[in-house]
Amino acid sequence: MQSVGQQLIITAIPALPALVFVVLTLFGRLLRENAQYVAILGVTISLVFSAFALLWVAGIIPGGGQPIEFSVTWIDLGEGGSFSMGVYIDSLAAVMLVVVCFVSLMIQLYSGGFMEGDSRFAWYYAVLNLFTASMLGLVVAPNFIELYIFWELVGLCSYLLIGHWYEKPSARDAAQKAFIVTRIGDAALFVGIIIFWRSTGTTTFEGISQAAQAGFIGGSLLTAAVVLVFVGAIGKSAQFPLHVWLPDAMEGPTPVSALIHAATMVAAGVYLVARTYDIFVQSEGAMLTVAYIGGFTALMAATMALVKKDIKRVVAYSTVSQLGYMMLALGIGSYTAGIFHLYNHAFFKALLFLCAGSIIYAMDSYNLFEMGGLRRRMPVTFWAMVIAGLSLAGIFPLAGFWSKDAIIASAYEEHYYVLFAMALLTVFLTAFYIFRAIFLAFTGEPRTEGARAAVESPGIMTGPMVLLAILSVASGWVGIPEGFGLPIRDYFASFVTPSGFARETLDIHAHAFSFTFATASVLVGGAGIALAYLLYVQKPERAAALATRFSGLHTFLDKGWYFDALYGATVVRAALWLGRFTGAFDRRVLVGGLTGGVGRGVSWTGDLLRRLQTGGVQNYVLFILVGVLALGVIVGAQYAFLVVALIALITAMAFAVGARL
Amino acid sequence: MPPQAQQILDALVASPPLEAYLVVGAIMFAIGAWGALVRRNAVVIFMCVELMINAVNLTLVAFADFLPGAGGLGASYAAVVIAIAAAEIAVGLAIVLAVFRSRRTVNVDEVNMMKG
Amino acid sequence: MITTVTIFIPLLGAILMLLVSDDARTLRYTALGVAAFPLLLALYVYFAYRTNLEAAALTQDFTWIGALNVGYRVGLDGLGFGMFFLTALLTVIAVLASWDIRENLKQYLAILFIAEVGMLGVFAAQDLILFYVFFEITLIPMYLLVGIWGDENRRPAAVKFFIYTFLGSTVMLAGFLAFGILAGTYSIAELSGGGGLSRTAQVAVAAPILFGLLVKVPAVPLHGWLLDVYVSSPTSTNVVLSGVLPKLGTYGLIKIALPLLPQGVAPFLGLVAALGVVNIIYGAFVAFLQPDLKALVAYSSIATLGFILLGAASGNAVGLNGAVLQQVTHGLYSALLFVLVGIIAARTGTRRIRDLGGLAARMPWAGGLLALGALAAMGLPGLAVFVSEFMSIMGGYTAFPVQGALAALGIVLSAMYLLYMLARTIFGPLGRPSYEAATDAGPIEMAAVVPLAFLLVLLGILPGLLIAVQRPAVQAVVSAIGGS
Repeated sequence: MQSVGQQLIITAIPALPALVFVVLTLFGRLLRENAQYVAILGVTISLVFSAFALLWVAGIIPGGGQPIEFSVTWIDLGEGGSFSMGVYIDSLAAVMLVVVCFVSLMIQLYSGGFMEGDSRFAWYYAVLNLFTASMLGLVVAPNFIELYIFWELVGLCSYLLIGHWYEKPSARDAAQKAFIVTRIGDAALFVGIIIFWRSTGTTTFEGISQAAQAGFIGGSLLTAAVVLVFVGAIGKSAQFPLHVWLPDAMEGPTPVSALIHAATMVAAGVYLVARTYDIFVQSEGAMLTVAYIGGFTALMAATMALVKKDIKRVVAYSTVSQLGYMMLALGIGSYTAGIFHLYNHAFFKALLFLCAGSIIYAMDSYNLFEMGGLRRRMPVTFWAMVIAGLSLAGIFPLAGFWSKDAIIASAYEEHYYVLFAMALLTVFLTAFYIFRAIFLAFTGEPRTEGARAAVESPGIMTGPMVLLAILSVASGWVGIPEGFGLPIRDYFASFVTPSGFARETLDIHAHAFSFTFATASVLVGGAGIALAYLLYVQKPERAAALATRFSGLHTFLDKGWYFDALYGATVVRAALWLGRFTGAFDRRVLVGGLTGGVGRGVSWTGDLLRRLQTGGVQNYVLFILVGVLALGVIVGAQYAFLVVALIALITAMAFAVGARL
Repeated sequence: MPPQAQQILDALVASPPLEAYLVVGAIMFAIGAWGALVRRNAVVIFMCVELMINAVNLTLVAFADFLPGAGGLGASYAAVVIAIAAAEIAVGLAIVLAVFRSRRTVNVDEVNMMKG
Repeated sequence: MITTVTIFIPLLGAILMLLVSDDARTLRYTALGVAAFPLLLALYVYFAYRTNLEAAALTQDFTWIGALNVGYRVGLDGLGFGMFFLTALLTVIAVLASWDIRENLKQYLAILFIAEVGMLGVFAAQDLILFYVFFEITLIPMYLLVGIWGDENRRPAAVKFFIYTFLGSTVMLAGFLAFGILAGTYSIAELSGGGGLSRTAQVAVAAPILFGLLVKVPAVPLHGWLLDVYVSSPTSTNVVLSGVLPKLGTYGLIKIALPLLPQGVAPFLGLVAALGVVNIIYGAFVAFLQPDLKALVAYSSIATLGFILLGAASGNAVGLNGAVLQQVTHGLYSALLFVLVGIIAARTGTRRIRDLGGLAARMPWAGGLLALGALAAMGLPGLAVFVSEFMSIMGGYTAFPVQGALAALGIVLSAMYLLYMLARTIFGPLGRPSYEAATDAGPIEMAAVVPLAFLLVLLGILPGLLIAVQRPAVQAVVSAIGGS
């Protein structure tokens, strides 16, 4: 794409929300609730432009069919090199652009209802748009520096939005935790970037990949750098061991959780791995790390979700788990399946959050055990949540089925049996916990007054939910494997593909669609749903009995495997101790001791010299004379006899004075 | 007149060498310095300081005479020194008088208010 | 000529201050007018000579002490221009921030202007002795500003400040004198590349110069004087004290130590980079639990200055450009934070972090800008400090991998203590019921902070505005060092 007009259109995709941010920040207090219309206008145009980019890259618009690529110099150091800012939109980025804009639009529509009457309504929309802009910028970034910039900015927006209700200490602390934990990953990412930069002299993904192929960086240094980049992805995508921030992040407004902590920002880690896939595939160790971290996280987070009482936390752990799936897919070389899952997940997970938000809006409680019987009072929410739940559980023929099945099948076919087992077990757990939540919330009798009084949310909120529900069913249909037998093409697999280089390195070959695995995974998912039904609809007391019987395990899971306690006892405590220690050290030793010591030294010297100031005129005269004579000695040093004479004279005088005193 | 006496007379009549002036100056300076250091009476100390100043003046004038290249600069310096010495005496004696008025003494050992 | 005029206009301003009436209003607006002159001239220089700073209109060179070959040599170059501009800007900010000073306002403003003469002069001096003279001209006014208008602990703080920095600068002067005597000139231009000194001589000269400069920065563990001075100063003095004074040290490092004594500083560069890292990490940890908001900002300043040391020590184009830029960006954010701390303390009557809280709801602009300043300090992209920090780390890593990688730890640590501070000052529940009545920043206060915030954002997005100016000069330093 070369024409200036087209470049402007592409630039406008992230620039428009950024502009909205500026406008809303400066004039938010004037616009008040009208802020949403400004915001929605901006993001709608961005969505249209993104769709244009997608169609162009897909070759549907005449003249397109190749990636969009342009850049300008950002920092020009002359002979010292330069850093550039640019745009690179291939099929992967184009899909992400549309997903981000679409989900963002849905969320901004929904927020108009959910956030009504909030005292910082315009500011909320401002940050939401800054987030959208940063996320879009992250998606189009062609180099690490640009990516890092937007990477941090989405983190900032996440911080501001989690802490939107900062008067609540829990929200404030959750925001702080989210920022700091992800920043650990960011620091690692940054070190990875500078390792690449030093070895290859470039920061573009393409350039680094080629330099690595040419051998400018390799071996353990390459693995180290790639793993460091992956640690950045771990932080952002809340993978083990940096997953602890995401559940707490649920303190933010629920639409924010849907947008940032489900559909887009947390997927940025997965996106980073996909974006730099050509670099990742050059290090086998790094790929294995990605796969096993992903697989382990998927399983671990699923177990944590089993017993949570807070509906949003169930969904949050589910997000962590699903992101683990995507990482696993990328790690084992199943690039297309991973991205496909990312794309499907964005819709059904956003929908799950919006459903949760709808319940919270209706009855102002997050606690599943205070709900119950909401099915009749909130039918739209119920059906939307069931669809999203089925999609998440991977039930045929909903969207989640197609991508999840592809991941599980390829784990088996690429001979990663441990990962395969983990993934299959996770499917079971996933189906169980999400339907546990659905059954608890919607079936049975209302457990509280709040649940009895709940009414369906307004149209501005259910509208986006319905749209997302349709997508949760149908989004997967663009990627139905050709082996399935339907007379449609697998558009997704032919569009979003790993580069030829990655395919060659990983020795990827297409697998035929396997009905065995499909049946197995649907059956396992169905079993999970059935178990949830047995425990929470048929005999709710059985679930309670199980919880008391295995109370140790229950607490272990409920506390998230005690990760927070572990980090609290080690990292946080160490940081606090270091803070106190260095503070005291600084005060006593460096400020008090060293600096104070020099001060005392000066006073002590002064005290000594003070004694020379006797006040006696004649002493001063003596000093003057001695001084003059000493000068004379120095100047006249060449006349040795003179020196001797002067010294003698001084001695005589000293004696004279001494005798006199 | 015996030749020896003639020699002495010649030596007396002939202009003395530079060293003579310098030695006299040095002796005067030493006496002045000695006095300034050991005497207690402020007025005497002033006289000793005067002696030192004049010793320096003597050397300046002597050099002025013996170093034609200097163009008599030393003499003009001496004039400046004399002027300053006069001013210094005026100020100094005023201080001594003030001290005497307040303390009834001019003994410098008893005046040490500047002790650090 | 423009440079000389800019430097000495504040001197006239100082005299003018003593002549105009005692009326506080008149004094303040006159001072604002005077302070605006150097700023406008600096802006004029930027727009007219940005690509051509060597122009004759900006330089002056005449003999001052002929026998020693000391000259009054001034001129602007890319290394100094950013700070020259920043000094002029921060003086305006300092005048605006001095609105809360009521006693001896006249003298305060006059002394502030004298300090400005010295600060402007340092960044324009092209002669070692002249550099030293301006360097010291800043010292006495600063001593007076802290010692007279500071809080109850001002006297010891001011004395400490004076003794330390004076000790440092005296040692530095000894180095300068030795250098000048050995090389036969004090002209910075003629001394470039070592002035013909042998390697050993360069090392011997470089050691005292580096020591003096590092005290001024201050590099940990030579920073003991800093805390009391920063905490005791009035807000207005803090602006210049933190925004400009440390840069006298770092600027000296980049302008004098590196290009004039390339072989002399070479053995110390690893150490300087390590000290930079110590500053970054140690400063962050000490800042973490500081009870006083100002002390926290002071230590954050120490941490951020570490990046300048690291970038400067790297000796390559990326690191040095980062370091030169960081001098400006650090000044912007630290001045912003200090002014805002002053605003908050004026409303709440306290600077104790524990007693604050929830202020963003009462004073959204002041609170929001405090957050902006803190985010800038932690090197958040989109704000200027990020650009200079990442370049400093990249350059530092290229030259010293261990130090560079450790410096990246600062990314986490700075987030830790700054978010901790934000959480306890502007976020959370209201610290005390009395804060309900706290008002947002007034127009004069906004005028003091908005330009700084604007520049932080502007330079964060378009760092090329300054980098284009400094690039040729930095490249010259790099070639003088002999690097790439």
